[in-house]
Amino acid sequence: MNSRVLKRLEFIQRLVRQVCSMRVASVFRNVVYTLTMAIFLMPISTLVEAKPAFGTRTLVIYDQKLTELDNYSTFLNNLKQRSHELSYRAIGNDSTPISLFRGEDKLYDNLIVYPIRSRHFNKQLSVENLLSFFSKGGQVLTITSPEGLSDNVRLFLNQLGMFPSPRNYYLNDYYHGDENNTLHLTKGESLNEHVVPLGEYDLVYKGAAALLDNRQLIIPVLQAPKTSFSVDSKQSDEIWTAGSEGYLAAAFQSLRNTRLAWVGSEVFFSNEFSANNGRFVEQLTKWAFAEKAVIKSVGSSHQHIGGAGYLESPYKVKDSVVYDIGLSEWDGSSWSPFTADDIQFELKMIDPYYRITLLPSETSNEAQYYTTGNFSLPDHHGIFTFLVDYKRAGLSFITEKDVRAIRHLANDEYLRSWDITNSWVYLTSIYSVITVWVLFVGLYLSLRKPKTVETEKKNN
Amino acid sequence: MVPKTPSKKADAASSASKFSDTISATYSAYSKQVSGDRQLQLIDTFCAFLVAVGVIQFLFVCAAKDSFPLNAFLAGFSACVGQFVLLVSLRMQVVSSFTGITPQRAFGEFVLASLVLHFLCLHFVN
Repeated sequence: MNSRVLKRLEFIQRLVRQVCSMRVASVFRNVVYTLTMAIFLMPISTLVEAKPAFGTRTLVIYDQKLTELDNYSTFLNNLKQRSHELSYRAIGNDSTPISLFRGEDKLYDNLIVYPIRSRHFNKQLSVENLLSFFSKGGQVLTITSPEGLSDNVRLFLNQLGMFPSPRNYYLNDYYHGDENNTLHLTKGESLNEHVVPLGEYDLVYKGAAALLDNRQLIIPVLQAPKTSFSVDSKQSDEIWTAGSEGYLAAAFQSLRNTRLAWVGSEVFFSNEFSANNGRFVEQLTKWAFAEKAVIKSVGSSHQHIGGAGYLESPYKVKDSVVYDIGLSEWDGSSWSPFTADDIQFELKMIDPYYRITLLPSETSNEAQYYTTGNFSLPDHHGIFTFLVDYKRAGLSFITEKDVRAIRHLANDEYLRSWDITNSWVYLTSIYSVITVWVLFVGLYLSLRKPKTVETEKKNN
Repeated sequence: MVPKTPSKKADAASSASKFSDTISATYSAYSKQVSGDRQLQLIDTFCAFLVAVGVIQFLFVCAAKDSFPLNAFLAGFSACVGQFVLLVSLRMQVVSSFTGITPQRAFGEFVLASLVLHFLCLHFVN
């Protein structure tokens, strides 16, 4: 990567020198210099900077009356630095629908929805539209605030199990906040290390809190302080959240690995507080737009310990086999090895017969390979699933499964009796019985003759 | 109550003596039957051998705590049991032959049945 950048820089310098060697006015030369630098440095910055794993087309929807985008330039520039191609859509008095699709194709990969008060917005972008965008792989960042919580966004979030407080409900805190309901969370702690790295953040927050459903796909990120409560600013007896039951930021990852982040405060992203919140915001949006904590499987395989695959010789009970899987992680610019010590392999037929923690084996540039080591298949024939089902809150979900038959032994594949040491005792006894029986018959016959003669004599 | 205890003791003593009497009577009857009859002695020796082999196999299974080649154990054990049964039926006919069956025929049947038994056991042990 670095060598490519250096080459490019050399190329630029040469070009600039060529341009400068022409006899032109120095002003013109400067203009050319800056232009060429601008043109050539832009792709360099995209090479160096992070970018999302799946797509960079980002649509920002905001309310003209609520949001002044200049106040969010730090946040938006940060997104641009991370290779996002931002498009803007201001919501005003017109009610032309917002299209997220052209036919079946998504027009955007990522969607940022600022708080919106306009009533037209509900018609411009329906809940169904939002849900289908999300379920077809579009990543969403929803920012709501007590001033702007449109019905479509609220219903969309409710579908996912997040319940932000209604309009005009402000999060309040007599210990951490001031009279403007601005909370200073000097010890804001991330609840998920993959979404936002653990540690204490000095955060400034003003806005709403949400109740979260108890479902596994929701990842709480930032919890409201114990002393806080969200209360209706107009009817002060109505309370939405009390204490730490409320959340200030939450994430959601669907089973198809599409991600959503919700934050209940608009000023949380503003330039004014970017010194405090910048790092938290950057990490949260990086997660939401699949710039980090994205992992994938580069393939799994299983075979006999000798190396013969299933197709060459199908598995039978008690065969020794080995299972391997390779995992990659998106590090912001390329796929790199993913390391973890809690990846498990399962051999299942309704119930798991084996659950083996995978051990790292080989490493390539792009992937870390894991192996079960040798294990012998259970003494049970049937249709088994070779499965790695790695689901961790905050990381992409990985499910690799392969269904294979394990056959029973054929008639001539059982061990013969003399191959089993235990049965030597029984074999010996059988042969000794036979040998002694032969001796017995011989002795019996030899003893019999004189006796029969005697009896005959007696009879006579 | 008082006279009962000695009577019980006497009973016990008498039963013990009865038992030993029975044993000794049986033993004397047996030795009387066997003495001078080499065939019966031979049959009984073989029987004792079979019992010993069967017991050894059973103890081996107990000691190994594993009946793994169960077919082999069954074959070995049933070889002993089957041979024992055949021998006993031969012995009964040697002592007093059944009506209509000569001792020669009894012995021939014994040989034939034993051969079938050995054949089955050898195949069952695999």
